[in-house]
Amino acid sequence: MQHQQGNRFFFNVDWITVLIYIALCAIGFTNIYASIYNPDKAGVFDFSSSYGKQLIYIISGLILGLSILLFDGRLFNVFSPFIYGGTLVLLLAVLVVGNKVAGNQAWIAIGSFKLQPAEFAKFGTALLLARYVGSFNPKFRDFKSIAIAALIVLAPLVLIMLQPDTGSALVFLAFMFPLYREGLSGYFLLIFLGMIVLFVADFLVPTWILITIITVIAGLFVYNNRRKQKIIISTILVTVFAIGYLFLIKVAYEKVLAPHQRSRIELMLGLKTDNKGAGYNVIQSQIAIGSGQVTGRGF
Amino acid sequence: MDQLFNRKYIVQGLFIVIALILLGKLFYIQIASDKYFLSAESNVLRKIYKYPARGAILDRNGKVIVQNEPVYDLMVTPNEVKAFDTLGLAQALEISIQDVRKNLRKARGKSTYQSTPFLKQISVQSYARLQEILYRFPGFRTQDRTIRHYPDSVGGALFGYVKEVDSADIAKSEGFYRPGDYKGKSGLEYSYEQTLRGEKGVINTVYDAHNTPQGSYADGKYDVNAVSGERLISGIDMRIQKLGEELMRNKVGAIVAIEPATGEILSFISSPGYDPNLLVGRDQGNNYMKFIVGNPYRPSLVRPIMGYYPPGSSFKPVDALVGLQEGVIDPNTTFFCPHYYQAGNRKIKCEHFDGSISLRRGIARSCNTYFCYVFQKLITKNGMKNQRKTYQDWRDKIAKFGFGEKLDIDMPYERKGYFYAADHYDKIYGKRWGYTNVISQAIGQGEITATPLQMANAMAVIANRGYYIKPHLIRAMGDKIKKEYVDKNYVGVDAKHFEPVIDGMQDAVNTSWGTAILSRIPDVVLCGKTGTVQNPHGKNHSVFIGFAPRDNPKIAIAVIVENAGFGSTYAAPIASYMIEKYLKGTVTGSRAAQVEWMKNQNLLPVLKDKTKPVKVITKADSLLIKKADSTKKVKDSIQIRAATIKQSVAIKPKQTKTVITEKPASEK
Repeated sequence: MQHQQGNRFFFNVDWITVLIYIALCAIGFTNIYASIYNPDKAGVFDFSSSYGKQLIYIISGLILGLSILLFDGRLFNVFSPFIYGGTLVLLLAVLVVGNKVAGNQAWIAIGSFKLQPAEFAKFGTALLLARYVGSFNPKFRDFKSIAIAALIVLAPLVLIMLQPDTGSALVFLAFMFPLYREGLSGYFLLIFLGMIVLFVADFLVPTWILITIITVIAGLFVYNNRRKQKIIISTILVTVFAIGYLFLIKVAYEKVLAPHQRSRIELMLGLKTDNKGAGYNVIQSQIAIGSGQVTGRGF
Repeated sequence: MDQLFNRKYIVQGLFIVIALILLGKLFYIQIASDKYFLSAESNVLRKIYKYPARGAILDRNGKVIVQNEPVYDLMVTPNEVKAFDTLGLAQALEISIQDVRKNLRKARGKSTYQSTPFLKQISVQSYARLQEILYRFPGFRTQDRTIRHYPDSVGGALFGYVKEVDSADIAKSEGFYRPGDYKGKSGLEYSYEQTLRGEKGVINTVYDAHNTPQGSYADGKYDVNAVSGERLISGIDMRIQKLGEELMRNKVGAIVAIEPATGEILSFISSPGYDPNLLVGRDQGNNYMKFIVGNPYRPSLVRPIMGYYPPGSSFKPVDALVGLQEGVIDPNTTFFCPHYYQAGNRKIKCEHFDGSISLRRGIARSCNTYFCYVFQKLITKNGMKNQRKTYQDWRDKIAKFGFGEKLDIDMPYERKGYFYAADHYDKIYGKRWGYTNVISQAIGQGEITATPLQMANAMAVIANRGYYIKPHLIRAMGDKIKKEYVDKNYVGVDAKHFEPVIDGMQDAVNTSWGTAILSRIPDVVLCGKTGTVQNPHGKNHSVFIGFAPRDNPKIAIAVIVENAGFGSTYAAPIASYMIEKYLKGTVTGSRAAQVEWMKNQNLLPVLKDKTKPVKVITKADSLLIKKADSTKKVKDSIQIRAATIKQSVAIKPKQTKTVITEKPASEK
């Protein structure tokens, strides 16, 4: 029993992921240390400094990770619905009792400590989704299993959008990748990718040109498969949706997105420059990176 | 299962592609493009300029005549400012609370994170008061710099003024000047700007993201210390500069005195003058409008080099010298003066009735007739048909004395005066014209005008017996004596011809029949020539030119007092006081009281109504004089015109050349 446990402990760990994690931690710490390096006060253990704090986080992270490994995996399997439920409750609670900071109601203040339920929600969602995927080995071919998986992911996502914390919400879309890995149709990824491409293209190219391109491609596709009625119908459907989507994003962009989100997108796509305003952080980050050149800065 | 297992690689592939895209972008930002690197440099480096002290100026006796005074600019960095005691700051600076708020708003409008001037040029007293309480006002700091100070409070036109550069200066300097720099705008401050200004110092300071200074960049490797401007040593003698300005108080005109042997200018007076200290400091703009622009006698006109005056009788010695050199007269030549000179159908009056008169007496008595004959002989010596060519020849010889050309003094805005070549008269008279057409130039009237500097320079030529050295105000920069001012400019008249002319000039001051006998200086032989110059702007100008002592002259001078009447009444005494002060250090005896009397004379001309349009008459005046003589009617109309002409003869040369006098030139 003892031997078996040790075995499980050492051989079931995804060592590559652990190594990547440790490498990222080391790089991050070194960067922070180098940027505020002061030769008069050299020392890694100054816990009032940014790198000292970072070190505390890294160490406590490692200890926490180690402790979790010591638990039996089945514990999480059993408790995952409760953890998930708990995070949903927290997400609901933050909408009621949360502090509003910079327009986002994302934090629950407990004394001086600030709790961000969205972070726990990622954890809880991952656990429950893993449990569901592992429970009866669904292939995500049927509507029901897709719907259940979608519900698990979308429930916290919607609650987080209500805060609204778009950035955290977007993270939940990454669950598409494990679902794809477990058998979700690749079309979901393709549709998702297509929507992103069309969204970006809509800013850079006039809409009528996009419509023409979509129509021409669809036409060629239909011509090549002119004997297959099913393909023709689905192609036409996709084309109509794509064109409808083009018009929809125009409206959605103006009505749904907040001005600061719009300006972020415009800056990103190079449609406007605002080095003193909305683009200040971006350009200053770029300048900070650029100042390093080949040899870099720091120390 | 196999099929799904492959999906692992698809997902991994996706992540790798995205990572590569990000890496590529990072590579571009950090290594491929230097745009961001350069921005980073300007982001963290702030250049703090240290202003150098401008160079001082000394007079010929080593006295400091232009120096610097420390002042302080109060700078503010708006986003470092915390709520502060507005009243306390206002009281320390002696400004109102409203001004404090207004200035802060202004500074904030310029930049919130950069240090901008809050109040410029705070006096030492305010600064001392402020220093004690400055800690109470975070975000404020002082920056020291210097402003000009002119201890004698004279010589506004001479020194000019220094002013903050404007956008045009900055554009023209191709990046040398930056906002907040100062620059000489006129006078010596302008012409020696490059020597006086020194070099700005730079301190490169690294700032962090919170705009807090993090110390000097690269241990000050690229910092530059401010270098003070070089000291100038001028030829000015402040004693007579000051005396001259006092004598010219409430008078319009100019004085130029030159040391003949060196060409150094001893005094350079433009009247009305102004205290150059008025154009320094915070009230510069207001004072400029009030005292310079607001003064109807136009102090901004630098009369010694910009004022145009007919030289009048002071031109006669030059005329005589050319006559002697050309051989048309000799020292014993006499002409008969019947109280007038008949040129064609017109008469030029002479104030005296001397009968047969010689050269020496002709100069001493300023006989118009004598010099009209000299002129007639000069222009007709090659026959009546060659008068045009001979005139041109004569004109070129006179021009060698410096008339009609710039003397290239080290001051901006010098003008050359009017002294026309022959083709000018071709345009008016066609090909057929002769000495009678241009006869007024024989006595320095009519078309010829000269600046006081040119007149003084002509005196230097006579004092030197035949040459001049380019007149200049500054003889040395730092400890280096300037080399360019040693060349002798010979005027082409032999030294032996000067003595007879100088005899006459000596008599003019030192004999009972001379024109300037009241200006005799005890124990000094002053040689000179008065002028009573007709001009279209009212009363005659009082003119005196001269030099002293006769042997080994030390000073040559030209004095013009506008609209003051006879040369002997004002210009000659003023010149004699200046010369005596220069040679003896003081004005002696009863003449000391006369100096005080002269200082208190108010000879400011009556201002004409400037709203009346100025009629411009386009023909040369000699011609119009002829017409005026022939018809009474024209004469009257010209009188009216003359009366309506604007007051400023010296200011508007175009009018000067065209305006005519009521009667032919006459001279005392």
